[in-house]
Amino acid sequence: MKMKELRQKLKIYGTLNNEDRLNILIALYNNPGISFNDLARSVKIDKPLLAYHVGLLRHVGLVESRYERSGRKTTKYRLTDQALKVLEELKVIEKIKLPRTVA
Amino acid sequence: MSYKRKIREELSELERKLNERYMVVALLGAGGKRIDERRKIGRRLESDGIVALIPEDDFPEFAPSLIEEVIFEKADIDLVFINIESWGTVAEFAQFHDKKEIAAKLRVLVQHSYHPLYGASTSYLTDLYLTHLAKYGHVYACGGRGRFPTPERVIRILAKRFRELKFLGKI
Repeated sequence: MKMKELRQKLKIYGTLNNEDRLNILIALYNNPGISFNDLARSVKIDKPLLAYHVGLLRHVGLVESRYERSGRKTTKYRLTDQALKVLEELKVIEKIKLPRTVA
Repeated sequence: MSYKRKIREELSELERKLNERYMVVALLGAGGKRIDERRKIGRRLESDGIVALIPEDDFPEFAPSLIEEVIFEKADIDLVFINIESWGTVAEFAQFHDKKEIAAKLRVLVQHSYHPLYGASTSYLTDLYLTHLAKYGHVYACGGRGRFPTPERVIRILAKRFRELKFLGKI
């Protein structure tokens, strides 16, 4: 594996090595398209810190956000395909017992 | 094996292969057109393998002045570089400079003419830099001309050395 790829992987695993960020990913897996406020309620993390964790996850390519109009305008958060791949590799998904719902 | 343990093992293996530790820095500075300079430095740090966050780009959910203090105090950011190049960054520095948890991570970049040791300024701000320098250290004179390095050079040299120290377990 090339250095560039190894470094990208290091950024991803370093970012995943945090309980709060893992909980955010699991919450987004269970509730794709969730809003920031609902995510904050779901993971019980203070909003400024949640903004940091979500920003870091987005920065390394594990989360994407999109401004959507569905009734009222909100930003919706989802896992990227890369995040789903990593969670599957780590067998995180099979350990999540909660049914996946659509927000 | 639990996935948390697997993450830790994978991370250790990657660090061993690269001889590098995972590291996150934040880059603060002037907004507007000058943000492009920070983005350029950020891209260079990223290619060095360091996660470089720019609050305006990476935390758009809230205004920086509302969340930065909590983030820099509580989050797992290794270093916060602040290039003092506008009144906004002066305000940020004044807000953070004596908060113990943030001050330890803070690396302050100032124009050499305002630096308390190299410049001739007698302003209140230069005096505040001197207080910070005496109490916490890490106030760096920049300029990009003559003997003073560019902000990019200061940031990259310090970030890479800090990562080496982390790798050796000295931090």
